[in-house]
Amino acid sequence: MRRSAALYGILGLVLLSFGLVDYFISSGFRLFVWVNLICGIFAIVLWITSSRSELSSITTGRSARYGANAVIYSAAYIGLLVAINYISTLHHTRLDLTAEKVYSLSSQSVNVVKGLQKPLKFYGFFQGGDSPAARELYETFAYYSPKLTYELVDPDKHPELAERFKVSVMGTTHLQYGGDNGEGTNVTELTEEALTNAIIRATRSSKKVVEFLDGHGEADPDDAGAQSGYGTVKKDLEGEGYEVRKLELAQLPKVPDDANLVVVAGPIKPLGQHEIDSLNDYLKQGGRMIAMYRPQRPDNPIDEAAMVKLAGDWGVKVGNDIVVDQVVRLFEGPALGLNPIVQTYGEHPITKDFKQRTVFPMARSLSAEPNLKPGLTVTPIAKTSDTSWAEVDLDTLFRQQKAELTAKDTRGPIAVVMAVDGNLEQFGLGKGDARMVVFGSTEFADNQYATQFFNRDFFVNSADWLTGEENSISIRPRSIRASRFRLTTGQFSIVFAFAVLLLPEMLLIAGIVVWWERRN
Amino acid sequence: MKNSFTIAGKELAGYFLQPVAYVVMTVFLLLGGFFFFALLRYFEVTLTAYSAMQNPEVLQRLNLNERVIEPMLHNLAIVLVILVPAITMRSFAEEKRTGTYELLLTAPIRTGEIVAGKFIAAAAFMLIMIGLAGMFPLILVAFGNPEVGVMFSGYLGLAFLSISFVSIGLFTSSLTQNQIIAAISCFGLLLLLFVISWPAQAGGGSLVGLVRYLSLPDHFAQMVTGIIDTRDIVYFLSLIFVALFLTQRSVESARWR
Repeated sequence: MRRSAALYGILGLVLLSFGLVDYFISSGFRLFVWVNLICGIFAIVLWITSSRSELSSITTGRSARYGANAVIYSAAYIGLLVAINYISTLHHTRLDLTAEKVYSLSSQSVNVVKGLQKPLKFYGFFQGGDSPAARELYETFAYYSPKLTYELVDPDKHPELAERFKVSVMGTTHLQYGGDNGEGTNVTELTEEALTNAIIRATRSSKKVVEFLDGHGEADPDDAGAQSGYGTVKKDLEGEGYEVRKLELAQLPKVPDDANLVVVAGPIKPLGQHEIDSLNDYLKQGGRMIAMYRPQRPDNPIDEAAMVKLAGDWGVKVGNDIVVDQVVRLFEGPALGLNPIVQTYGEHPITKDFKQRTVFPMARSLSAEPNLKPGLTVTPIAKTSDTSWAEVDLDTLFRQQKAELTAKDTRGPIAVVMAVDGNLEQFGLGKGDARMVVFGSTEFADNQYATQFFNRDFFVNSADWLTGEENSISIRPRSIRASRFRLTTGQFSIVFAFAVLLLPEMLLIAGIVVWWERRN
Repeated sequence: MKNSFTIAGKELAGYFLQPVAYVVMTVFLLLGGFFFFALLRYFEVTLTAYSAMQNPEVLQRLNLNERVIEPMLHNLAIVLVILVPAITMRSFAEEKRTGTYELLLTAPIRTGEIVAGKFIAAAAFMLIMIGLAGMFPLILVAFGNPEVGVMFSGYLGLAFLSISFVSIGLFTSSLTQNQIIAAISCFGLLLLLFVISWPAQAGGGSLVGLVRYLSLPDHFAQMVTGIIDTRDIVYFLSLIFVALFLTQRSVESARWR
């Protein structure tokens, strides 16, 4: 065999290896792969043709027999280990040695996960398609049930998945239950509690229905294009597992029985008496409602007396004003200050642990009615800053674009969202309660503002509380135990000398002695 | 098996008759000590600062395992990538160079026993070295309240990691008579096992799952955080068995080539 022939063989193997590596890494045939594969095959063919006689003698010799034997034996051995590893990934047990068991699920979550009847998959949407914290949490969930799997998705690389699962916020986990055609729900919080509650939601047999009142110029949930549309929050609600419908109440005898929540998103035209009565009856039977209001524009006034009275009947007074905050406001917004930022939240399940900011453009002030009926609990849950005020001179504000704090105005903080809980038993209307969340702004959840700050979370939290979805299961967040360590400076230096320097020093001396002895 | 232990005893004694073993241990413990004390000092400064500020929220999150032991073990793993080739490079390569390899192969012992003997010696050496580094957690236990379970799991991970490294080192040493080539190819293989999941982190490719599974730091990191998972144990044992099997094949091939 010519020496160059063997070289062809070696080069051929190198070229083929690099080509295959690139094929697997880049997932396809690109120029580098083609060049390497073609050149590699060419070199191997050259090697075979130029050393045919030697090869035939090698393949029939003793070395070939042993070589073939070794290759088969090796392949079988490695194949066996691959199989063992594969099985170990399917059936494994683990021991969590942390004191607080931070890498284990609570018993409530374990029951939920072990009770899964169909396959459940977590799709985690994260920047770059990875998040160590999410992977760790999903892995912990997946450990408890073979039915639960997960995948981390880069929404920039897979926009079709984000679109399909109605994911609009980075860091969202989509839970798909029962395969591709099954139920799905989204959750933006990365905690055991949020994921467990989302599993409960996704595995529920029927969807909760949110009805958006229609026919009076309300914000349109089907409008995803215009700034004033509610297409974004509709997508978010659907992502959370709700079914969103439009409610033509004027044509119906009453609010449908399967409605879990009715949203009245800032009607511009007046509601008929029949509609107001239907909404009132619905609430009296334990209904849930979101009522949203727009400010009165002197040039285009709204006949809203019935809607304002409806809120008043349930304990919320809607002020005929507009909240101005020229200090804590959106910087890019008009300097007039009609988009105040809310950073203060009330003690309420909707705003529990809510430390994020929200923006409430074109908001009216809300307050509790002075003489609340027994059984009604009214809680202000979002307040603007001390620098804000409720401007009553709407004429000057809208016509001359001027706002000034006067004696007639109410100084901040101003409540812009109120939560109402009405105990029906105390009203003599049967058991249970009626719930209502009143928003002084309609624009805060429209397509323009829903994605700003944490507006969508506020809206979705409100829907969750109203439909009884909040805190289905409450799990205390666990963290690694706090540590202490006390060492005086003197102790520090002693420990350092003995533990860190002494041993290496002795080892070094021993090494030098050994070296010296061997040298001599 | 008796032959294996005889070889292991001779090999282990051989390590301590060579200055290289002392240099490796000294470097390992000095670097370990430096990492440990630098991290501990930083932890103490942070603890004092937040205690002075009376910030219970941050104090609640300060954990000795997370802030001292975990980063120290990760750093030591990288140090082992550099040090292990220096320990294993001579195992077979030097025997080949000095001509004792033929003697060994013609002796009435099986190839498996030779490989096992050399492996036991190298693994024992690594365990002695890691055992000496066990004084760092002891200091923490004496002066603080670390989580002993998490430290045990982390050190167990380091032991598995180092034993996997030596088995790979033995394999590369069995392939050549040049110690430099043996050391550098071992270093390259260990480094490859460390960085193999980088393309997966970038999110591309069809073999993401496989590559992630092959990634050594992923399995090690899990043990360092306090989780002992049978998957990780199976992975480390497989790595050791594959490397030793290939070493045995490589040594065996000298008999028929």
